[in-house]
Amino acid sequence: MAIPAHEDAMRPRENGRTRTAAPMMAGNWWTASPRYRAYVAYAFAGVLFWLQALILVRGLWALGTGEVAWNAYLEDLQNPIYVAFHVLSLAVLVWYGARTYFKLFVKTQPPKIGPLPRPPLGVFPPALAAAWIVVSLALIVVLGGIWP
Amino acid sequence: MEHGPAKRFVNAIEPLIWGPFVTGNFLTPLVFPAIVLMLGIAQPLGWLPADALSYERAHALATHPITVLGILVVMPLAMLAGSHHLRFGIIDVGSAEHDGPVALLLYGLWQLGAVATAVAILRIFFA
Repeated sequence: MAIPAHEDAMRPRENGRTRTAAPMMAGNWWTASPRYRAYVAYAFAGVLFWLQALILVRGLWALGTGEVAWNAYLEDLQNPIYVAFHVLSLAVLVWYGARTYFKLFVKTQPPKIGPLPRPPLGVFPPALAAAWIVVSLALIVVLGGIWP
Repeated sequence: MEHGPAKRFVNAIEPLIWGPFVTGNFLTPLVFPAIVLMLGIAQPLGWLPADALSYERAHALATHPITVLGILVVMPLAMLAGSHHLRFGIIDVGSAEHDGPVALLLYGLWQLGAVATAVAILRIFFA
């Protein structure tokens, strides 16, 4: 079944002299290829961003309520359903990050960054991987009670 | 194509949203995996020292200026990235017809989430 597509889909650079029909697309287009499915999964990872953000806000709220609420929050997180959800979330977030930093980032860089020429594209993946490792290790060290 | 007021408003604000969306899209997978690993997996499975996430330590960490700044930047941007991504996911697999109200709902939720984050942080200082 055809459904309306985004109004800018397949829009020509300049409008033609005659009106054209609104763009349509097949309703199940995204099932046709693994690439399309990955693209849609990437977009719907937004649900996960929201759920994780809400879990964290709930933690902050508990921290503001007091020690009993904070301990209850940590106890809730021990529910096997929560743990399974977090394992799934971790896998999706790592996949999402790898796709963002190593696949999409280099394709979306302009030729100039401000007044400066863009560094060679090959520089970005190792630099982003290093940033990812450094930030993750810093958070693991702090949240793991190692430092400070 | 004639648009309703919701869609016209969303079209007007959309250029302002792409920048924060890209930033959120970059920062969320940078920061969230380690937090999920530690808070959502390591802590429940008992891999952390007993006092790593004790109330006193968590309170001290959450009220540190760097943490407060980080939370106030990353959390709203993560929510915006989630809303914006979801909006375009819905356009792509569903329909662009209802984009105006859907976008208003998702961006409205983002604003509520951002305010809730700020209030939650503020409450910690008075706990």
